[in-house]
Amino acid sequence: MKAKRTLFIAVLILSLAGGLLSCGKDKDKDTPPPQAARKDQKAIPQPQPQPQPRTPQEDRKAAPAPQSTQVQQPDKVTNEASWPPPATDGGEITLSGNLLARNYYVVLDSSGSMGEVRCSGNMTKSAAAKIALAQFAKTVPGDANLGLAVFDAIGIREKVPLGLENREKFIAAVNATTPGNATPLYDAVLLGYQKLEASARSQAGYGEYHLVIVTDGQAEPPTQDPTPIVGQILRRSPIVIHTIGFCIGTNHSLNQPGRTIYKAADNPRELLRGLEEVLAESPDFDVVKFKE
Amino acid sequence: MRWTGTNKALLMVLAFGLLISGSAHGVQYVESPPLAKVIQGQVGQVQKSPSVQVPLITWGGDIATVLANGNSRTTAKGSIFDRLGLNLKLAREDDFKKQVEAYRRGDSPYLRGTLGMINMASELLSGDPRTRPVIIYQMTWSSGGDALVVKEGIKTVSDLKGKTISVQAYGPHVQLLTEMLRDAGLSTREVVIKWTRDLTGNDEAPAAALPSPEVHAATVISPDALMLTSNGTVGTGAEGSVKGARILLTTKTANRIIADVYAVRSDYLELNRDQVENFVKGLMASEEELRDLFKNKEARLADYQKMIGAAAEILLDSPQAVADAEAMYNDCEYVGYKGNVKFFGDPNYPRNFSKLTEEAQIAFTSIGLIGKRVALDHAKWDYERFKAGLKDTAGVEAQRFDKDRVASVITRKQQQGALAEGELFSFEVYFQPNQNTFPADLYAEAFARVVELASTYGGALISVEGHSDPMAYLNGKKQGSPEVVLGRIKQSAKNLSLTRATAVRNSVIAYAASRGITLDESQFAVVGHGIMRPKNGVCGNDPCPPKTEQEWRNNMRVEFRIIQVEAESTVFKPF
Repeated sequence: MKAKRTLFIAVLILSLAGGLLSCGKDKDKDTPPPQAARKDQKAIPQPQPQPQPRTPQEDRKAAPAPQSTQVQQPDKVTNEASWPPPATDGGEITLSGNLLARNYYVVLDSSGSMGEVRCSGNMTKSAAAKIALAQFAKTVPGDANLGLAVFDAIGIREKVPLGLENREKFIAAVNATTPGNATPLYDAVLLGYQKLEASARSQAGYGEYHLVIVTDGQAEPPTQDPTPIVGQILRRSPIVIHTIGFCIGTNHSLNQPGRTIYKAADNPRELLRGLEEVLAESPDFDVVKFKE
Repeated sequence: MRWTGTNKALLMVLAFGLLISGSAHGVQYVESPPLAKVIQGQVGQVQKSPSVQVPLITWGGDIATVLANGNSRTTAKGSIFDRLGLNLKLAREDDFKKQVEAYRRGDSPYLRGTLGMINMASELLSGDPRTRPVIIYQMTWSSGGDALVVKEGIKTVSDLKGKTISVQAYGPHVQLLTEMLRDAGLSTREVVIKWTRDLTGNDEAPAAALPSPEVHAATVISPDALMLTSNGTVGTGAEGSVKGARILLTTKTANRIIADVYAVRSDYLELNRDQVENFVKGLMASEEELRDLFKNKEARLADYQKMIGAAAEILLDSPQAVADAEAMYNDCEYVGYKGNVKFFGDPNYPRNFSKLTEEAQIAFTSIGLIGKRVALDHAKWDYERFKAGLKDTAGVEAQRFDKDRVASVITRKQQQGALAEGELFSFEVYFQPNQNTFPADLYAEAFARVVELASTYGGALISVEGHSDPMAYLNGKKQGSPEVVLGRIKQSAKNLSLTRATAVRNSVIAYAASRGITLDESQFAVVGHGIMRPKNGVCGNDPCPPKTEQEWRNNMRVEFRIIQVEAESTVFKPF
């Protein structure tokens, strides 16, 4: 067992060093933990050289030459435009019927410490999280995709793939978790990213992507510090990271003011409010006006 | 001459000729005065003989005529034409001027050409009421058989401005060129046209002219296009190719410009309307039979081999030229009964007979190919009378593109920043802040242009690309909004621009429908760029702040791009 964990950590370190991320596909059943998905690892897209030659047609259409020498041509795009990167297997993507769908992927920390009665009223943190997440699942809009991964006594795995009409399954999966084991936050964030990225491929990058992490503590072991991967996600994708934290400090790696959205969940009511705000903070930006 | 020289031997000769000469110094360009000034001679009565002479040209559309005649030059017993009481003698004549002369003399009451070519002759032929041509049947649309090859530096059609283009005089490509120029907003006066005597196969053809430094583009048949561009890539300069030359587009993209038709003399039609009607009926029946033979080639192998062998012999002078005959078939799109009803009978169809005739005559007058515009008639058949015995007379048109593949290709191009690659034409419409509808009355001119281009370039994709106002993002940044907020604004703008593009696409389709025109939704791909491609440029990783109100307004736009995707064969649904 220990040998397995050592191997696992070694793989993680390697992936960290290489900036590797694996590309997974949604499955109906629980997907294997990240260890099994390593074969497909690939880097979060690095900035690609932008195509230089512009057609005269484009030049013709361009506005009068800008004064600043720092101004690039109109269709020079920033890196985010290339997210999500194409699947490395080159496989065909079947596009979603709703390119503008919102996606909420919840990562639930069910490590050993979540079984403690602390920062969660008179019940365990795990019990409080179960109640709040059940309520959250019912509040997620019906046309939004919801998914779930957990890390608990068994390990890290996806319990509910991103999808519609899976709220009951989501609640059942949350309720079935048993606190135990460590806090592999790096792997958990990685898995969540992979799932959202796969969904983004089917939506051609349109829509909304939220990674919601409910956790109570620091990464354990320390190699599981998610800071590097959080940084890459924030730089390279439009994924919004929401951290719902039980009594965790302001120096938590998932609490980066201005970059991630952090809500303290120091009692069951706060926990639920934090989760509700994940939904409430979705601006409509007039999009709904166009839906006919 | 349409496809003569398409056999490999002739092309090799041409390639070798170009190779050893190294340039096009041998091309003797010709003048192109109206045919009325070129063709002299008396008009005669149509000859009375047991069999009526019918001209053919070397084109895939003529395979059905050969089949209808019983795979024979003279009508065979039991053939489709025979069963309709016709006795015909098929005579291939690829030289259109000679065909016109024979028609005027009365050797044949029929004229076989593209609608553009017959329009070129209409002034001459209408000079005598007997020979006034009446169009009786559309056989095909050119769909891959004809191409525009360009040299380096020409990326879109509008880049042809000021350039020299080689085209066969009085040939099938004149209308292809004039329509493309018009659609790019160019007049024929803005280019220099070098007329060649022939279409292909010798040193007097556009392909032979292209190596010349003074020629920048040429309209050619597809085998020549492949030769000039090193098999459809970029010419290397070897084996008859021209260094840097590439195919800008073929009629696979511009698939509603070159219509191949039959016309008949007015005097003959008046006296022999039943015979002419049966000729058309036979062509329609043969088209269905031919389609069935190609579709069930294995099951009907003996019939298929007989048909394709005869087509090869009669149209290509060699019964062994089966592969070339099959290639010719694939270079065109038979229109059949439904296509004829649409072409001649649907006043709303943007590519109908009247529209094409009008466009051709306006263009040909402007370049002096005809001296004046003259009315050109069609037979005004009662198409109900043709239905008996035909199978494919109803039904809706299937989608031509695979929607998922189109989305995949467009997404890939977007990620690569390569949406402009393959662009033939583009233009923009603008909207106001918070505008969420795109009514046709505000955008009628632009929508009409989209409908026109979608119809003419039925093999091209049309991307509808939305752009958003970056001011919310820029204001947020100026006010120090957190990164997470700015990121969400950016993504929301992207979503909004997609929604706008979709709304515009839907409005265009609805606009077309309100005019009785059905557009193929699968031809349109919507893209949302958000705020990442502002008109006034990108500063660092952000949109540049607009300096004027006009710059601000210029960002709020939807761009239409007509994109050639012939290399992306998987986007097309198989017929």
